[in-house]
Amino acid sequence: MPSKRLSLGEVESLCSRAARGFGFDWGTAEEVGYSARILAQHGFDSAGLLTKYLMSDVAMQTILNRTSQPAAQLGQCPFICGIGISDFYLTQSGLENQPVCVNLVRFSAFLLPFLSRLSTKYDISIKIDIGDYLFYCDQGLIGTLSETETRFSDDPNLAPNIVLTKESDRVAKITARKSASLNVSEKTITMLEGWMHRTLVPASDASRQGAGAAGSDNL
Amino acid sequence: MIKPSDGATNVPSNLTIERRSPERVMRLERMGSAHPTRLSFLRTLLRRVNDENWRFERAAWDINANGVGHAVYKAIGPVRTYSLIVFAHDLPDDQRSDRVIATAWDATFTLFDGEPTKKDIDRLAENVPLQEAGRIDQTELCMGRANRSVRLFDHVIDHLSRGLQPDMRELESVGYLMRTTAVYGSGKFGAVDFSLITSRPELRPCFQVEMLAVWLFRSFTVDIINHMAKISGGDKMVPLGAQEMNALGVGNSTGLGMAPFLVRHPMLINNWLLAREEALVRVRNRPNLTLQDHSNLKDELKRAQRNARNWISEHPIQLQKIADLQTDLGKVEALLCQDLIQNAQPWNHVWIWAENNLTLEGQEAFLAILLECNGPLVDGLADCMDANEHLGTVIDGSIPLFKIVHMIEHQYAWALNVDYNLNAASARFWYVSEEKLEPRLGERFEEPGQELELPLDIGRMVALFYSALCESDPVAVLADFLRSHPTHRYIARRVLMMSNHPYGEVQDNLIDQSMMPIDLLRCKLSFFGATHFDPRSDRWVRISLFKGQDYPNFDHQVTASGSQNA
Repeated sequence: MPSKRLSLGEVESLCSRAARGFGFDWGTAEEVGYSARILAQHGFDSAGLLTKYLMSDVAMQTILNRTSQPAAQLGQCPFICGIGISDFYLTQSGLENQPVCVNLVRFSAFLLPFLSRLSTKYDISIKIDIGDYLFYCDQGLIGTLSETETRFSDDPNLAPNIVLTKESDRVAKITARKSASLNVSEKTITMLEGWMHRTLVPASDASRQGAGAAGSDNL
Repeated sequence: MIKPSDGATNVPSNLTIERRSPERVMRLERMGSAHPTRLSFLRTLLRRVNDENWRFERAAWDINANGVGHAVYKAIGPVRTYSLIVFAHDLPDDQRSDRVIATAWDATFTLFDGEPTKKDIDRLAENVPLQEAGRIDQTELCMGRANRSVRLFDHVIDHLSRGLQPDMRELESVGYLMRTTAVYGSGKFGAVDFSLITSRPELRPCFQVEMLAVWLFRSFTVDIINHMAKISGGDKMVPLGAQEMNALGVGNSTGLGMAPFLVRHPMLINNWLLAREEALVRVRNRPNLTLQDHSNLKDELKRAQRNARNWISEHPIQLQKIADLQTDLGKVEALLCQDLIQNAQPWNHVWIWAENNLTLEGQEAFLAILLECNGPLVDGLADCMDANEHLGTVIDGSIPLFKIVHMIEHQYAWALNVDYNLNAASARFWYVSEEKLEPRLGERFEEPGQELELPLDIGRMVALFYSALCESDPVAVLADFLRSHPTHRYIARRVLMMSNHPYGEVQDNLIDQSMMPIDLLRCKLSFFGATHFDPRSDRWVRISLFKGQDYPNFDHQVTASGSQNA
C-alpha cells in the first residue's frame, strides 16, 4: 500500500485539523492533535487509528452529544475520557488522590497520550492496568517495565476496563519504542485530508487582494 | 521565566527599575515599530560561528552556462557539519512570482544534516525544486526557494561582465540579488521535527536552521552572479567587489500567511519579548556610563542613521515612519552631545528621555542601540528565547471559576474593553484558504466563510469565555465548566498558559477593521534580524536579511571546473 512518511508535526497538524473538520471544537481538536503526535512518537499508527475512530459510531455519537459520552453500549470515547482524567487530575476525585477506573474505552490507545502529558506536567509515574498487562507512563514515555516487547493494543474493537494508579515511587526504567516520524498510508492521508478540507474557505479575489506579491511586483 | 541572572555576566545585582509592562509592549502599534537587535536570530548565529570558529566550504559547483545546476555549501561546526544544497533554475521572466501559489522559482534549496552523498543530491534534485509538491526527509532541516531581483540581477551582470562594478545606488535601492519567497522550517514536507534536534546547542536558539540556510544562500547569490557575468563577459569580467557585496543581503517577501504565527505561538513569543525586555531593563539598571560607552553609543547612532538614510519604501505609512526615525535619531545625536556620565543611573536617564521625546519608531530604534552597546550583559539571553510549547497544554481543571475570572480581569482587561457587537470591532475573520492552505483575512460582513473562522480572535474569545464564567457558579471548578462548555476549551487553555507568560499575548483586537497585519509581520521579522522593512500593502512586506553583515569565510571553493581554491 503506498504510504508517505510524515513528520510528527505534520501528524499533529493533519489530525488536529481533521478532528476540527469532523466537528470537534478547537480545544478538543487540539487534544486530538497532541494525542496523535505522542502516539506516533511511540510507534503507533495514530493517523490510521484516528481515521478508524472518526468513522466509528463512537465518534459520531460523541459529536452528536457534544458534551457527554456516547450511549453505554457503544463504549467510551477515548478523547472525552482522556480529557476528563486530565482535567480532573488535581480534583478530589482525580488520579492525584485515588486510582481511577475507566471502563469500556474504545480506541483506548488514545488514552495513553493524556497520561503521558500528565506524567510530564506533574512529574509523576502512572500505572496502567488492563488486566493481563501493565503499562507505565513516566516523564512522557509510555511503555513497559520489561525488555520483552509488549504492545498496548491499538485494536479499535477492544473496549477494555482500565485501572489507572499514580505510583508512589518513580518507575526505574521504561522500555518504550520511539519514532521520529510516521509512515502513513496514502488512503489514510486522503481520508484525513477529506475531513480537514471541511475547515477551508475557498479563496476569493477579495481575499487575495494585497495578501502577497503579484506579477507586477518583480523588482 | 527569565531570571535576572540568566544568560549574562555582570548583571547589576540590584535591579530597581522594572521591565516595561506587557500592556505597553504588546500593542500592535509598538510591535509594528520593532527594530532588530543583537538578540535577533541572525545575530545569534553570526556570534556563534565566529566564537566557535566554524569553517565553510563550497563543496560543489555544478552550474552550467544557462545558470542551471546545483551547488553545495558546507558549514563545519565544532561537532557537526551542515550543508546547503542549492538548485539553480532557468526561469522565464513571465513565470517569476513571489506568491505562495507559484510553482517555479529561480533557485530552490535545502539545509542537509551532514554531508550529502550523490544519492542524497539525486533524491533532493527530484523533490526540492518542486517545493510543496515534493517530499524531503529526516536528514533535511528546512527547505526554501528564491527569486531574482530582475532589475538588479541584470544590472549587476551587465556591469561585471564589462569589467565594471555595479552602481552602488542601484545596489542600495534594492538591497539584494535574490529574495526568498518561503523558507519552510523543521517538520514541514517531511523535514525533521525541531523536537528531535533541539538538544543541539547550535540549533537550540530560535530559527538557527533557517538563518544558517539563508546566510549560506547569500553566498550563492554572489557566486551565481559572478558565474553568469563570467559566462557573459569572459576575460573582461570582474567579480563583485567587497563593498558591493556588503551592500547586499538576501531579500524576503513575507505575506499574510505568516501573520498569525505570533498569535499561534504565545509561549514562544513571550520568551522572545521577555528576553528583549529583560535585556533593556538590565541596561537601564547599569549604575554607570563610561567614556567608552559614550563613544560606543555615538558609533551605533551613526550606524542607525546610515541605516535610516538607506531605508527605502514607497508605502505612505512606512515613509512617515522613516521620516520620524530620521528626526528622532537627530534628537538622539543632540542628546549624546551632552555630558551623560554625571547622571545618576545614566542609562535609565537616557531611556526615560527617549520615552518622553521620541516616536515609537525612534524609541524602538534607540532600544536596539542601547542593547548593541551592552553585548556581555545581554547576549546570553538568546539562550532563553526558545520554548517547549507542548509543556503548557495540560489544563488544571481544579481551579475554581472565580479565580479564572480574576485571572482574565488581570491579564485580559484589554480584551474586555472592546464591544465586539460593533461591526467595526468584528469586521474581519481569519481563515485558511482552500487555494494554498494558507491563513487569510476575510471581511466578515462581505465575504462567505466566517463559520470556518480560525481561533485567532483572541480578544473576542476571551470576552465570551469571561461572560460564560460570570454566569456560572463561581466556586465550581474549571473541569466541570469545560465538561458542559467544551467550546471554551481552546481559550481556557490559553488563559491558563498565559498566566505565567506575560508577553505572550498581542493586546489588541485582531479582527478589528483597523488592524494591520504588517504590524505582526514586522515584529516577527525584527526578531529574525530583518532590516529595510518595506510594506507593499497592509498585508505583505519585503525585507532584507544579513545586509551589511559578514559573509562566510570559505576555506575551499570548488570551481566550475571542479578544482579547489584554497
